[in-house]
Amino acid sequence: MGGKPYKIINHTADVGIRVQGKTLPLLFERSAYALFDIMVNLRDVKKETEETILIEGFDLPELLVSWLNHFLFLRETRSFLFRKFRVHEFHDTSLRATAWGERFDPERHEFYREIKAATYHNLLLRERRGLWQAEIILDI
Amino acid sequence: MDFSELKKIDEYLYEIPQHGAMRVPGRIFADRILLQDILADRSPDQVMNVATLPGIVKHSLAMPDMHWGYGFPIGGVAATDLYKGVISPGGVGYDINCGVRLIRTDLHDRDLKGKMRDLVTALFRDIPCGVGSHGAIRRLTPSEEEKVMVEGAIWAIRQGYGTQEGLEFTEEQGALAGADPAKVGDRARERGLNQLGTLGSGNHFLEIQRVEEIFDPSAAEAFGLFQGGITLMIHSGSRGFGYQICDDYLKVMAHAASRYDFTLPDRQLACAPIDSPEGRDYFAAMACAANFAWANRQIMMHLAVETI
Repeated sequence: MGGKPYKIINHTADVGIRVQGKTLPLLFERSAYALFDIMVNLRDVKKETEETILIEGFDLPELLVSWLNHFLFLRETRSFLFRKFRVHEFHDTSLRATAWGERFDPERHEFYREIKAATYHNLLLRERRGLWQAEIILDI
Repeated sequence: MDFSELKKIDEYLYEIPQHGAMRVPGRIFADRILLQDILADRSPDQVMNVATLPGIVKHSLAMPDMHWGYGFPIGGVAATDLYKGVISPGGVGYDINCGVRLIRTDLHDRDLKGKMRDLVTALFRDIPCGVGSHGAIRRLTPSEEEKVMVEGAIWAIRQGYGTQEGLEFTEEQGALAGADPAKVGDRARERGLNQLGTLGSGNHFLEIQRVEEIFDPSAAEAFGLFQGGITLMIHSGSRGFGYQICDDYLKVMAHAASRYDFTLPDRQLACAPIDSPEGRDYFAAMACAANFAWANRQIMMHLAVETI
């Protein structure tokens, strides 16, 4: 598969991403990848640390937003950058995953922009003809 | 939406007549030229959405700088009835009390000639701004953080960042009453511990300004402003602390929505009656974030003045 597993959507003051995947776990993995790919040059991020991720949500949209915001929380409080994601268990209101990456090193990592939050605004999450699609607006 | 759906009140005020689920009309403060951009980004749709909020009083307003936001347009203003109305975390925004602080100095433009580069370098050094930056002040202890949540700018002044005088010119005297740290979750607390004294990224800034032109001499004199005078402006908010509180309470409101029989045109407008457990809890947490932001601006402004 060439190119990036997501597209950027133009937005007045923020940035949006459009992601799709044959399954929800795949869509979630790609969304997380998009999040970090927008923030930092992932080529320089090594897979030194393995982090177990457990997320719960009231419904699917909340699960997706919580998933992304959890990574932003880890970045902000523990300086973690992740580049690879694997969802092991997935239910409508919870998931278990592993993420691989390392701590931010200003000497080695090229940081493009901070993302402050994944929002519910105009959140799209639906299945069309066997393909899951999502659009998420990110606050920058 | 296009011009035909707006009712012109005067050169700078247009109305979206009340219709559909709107409880009040919408009012946009803008001229025809600005409106061309405004209509293109669909933020008037958000003005209409806000007009559906229960208990909204008189109008759903939008200022000339309006653009697409989260539920509310950026530049949107609404008042809701204290007893019958709702409170909305999306309406207040992610960056709770993102605001501006302006300080005048006795310096004149000529005093800074040849010194700007050094000054900007020093400011960059003394006031952390960028990504994941840590505070100019050391990491807070959890109990200090709780004091910041309740005392706001007053806490900062007690630590030596500025004087009482400045509070007279600060909204709410630098601290909103009703803050209750018990309503702030662990994740928000963790995010806030290391962020006091940081500017943040995105559209936040610290700007060195010069007074270019005086329009009202007596008002300028009252403010201590003069031609060529140097002022400092900071635009910043409650950082990750406020963001987390917004996120936490968007969830609380969304889960409670079914109890209150609201139909929301936009999930980001999730709200609860002000006079409800969820509404009161959110207000108490929101006030903590607002106070964090005032403390933050107080600290950074003091550091900037010291640097100059």
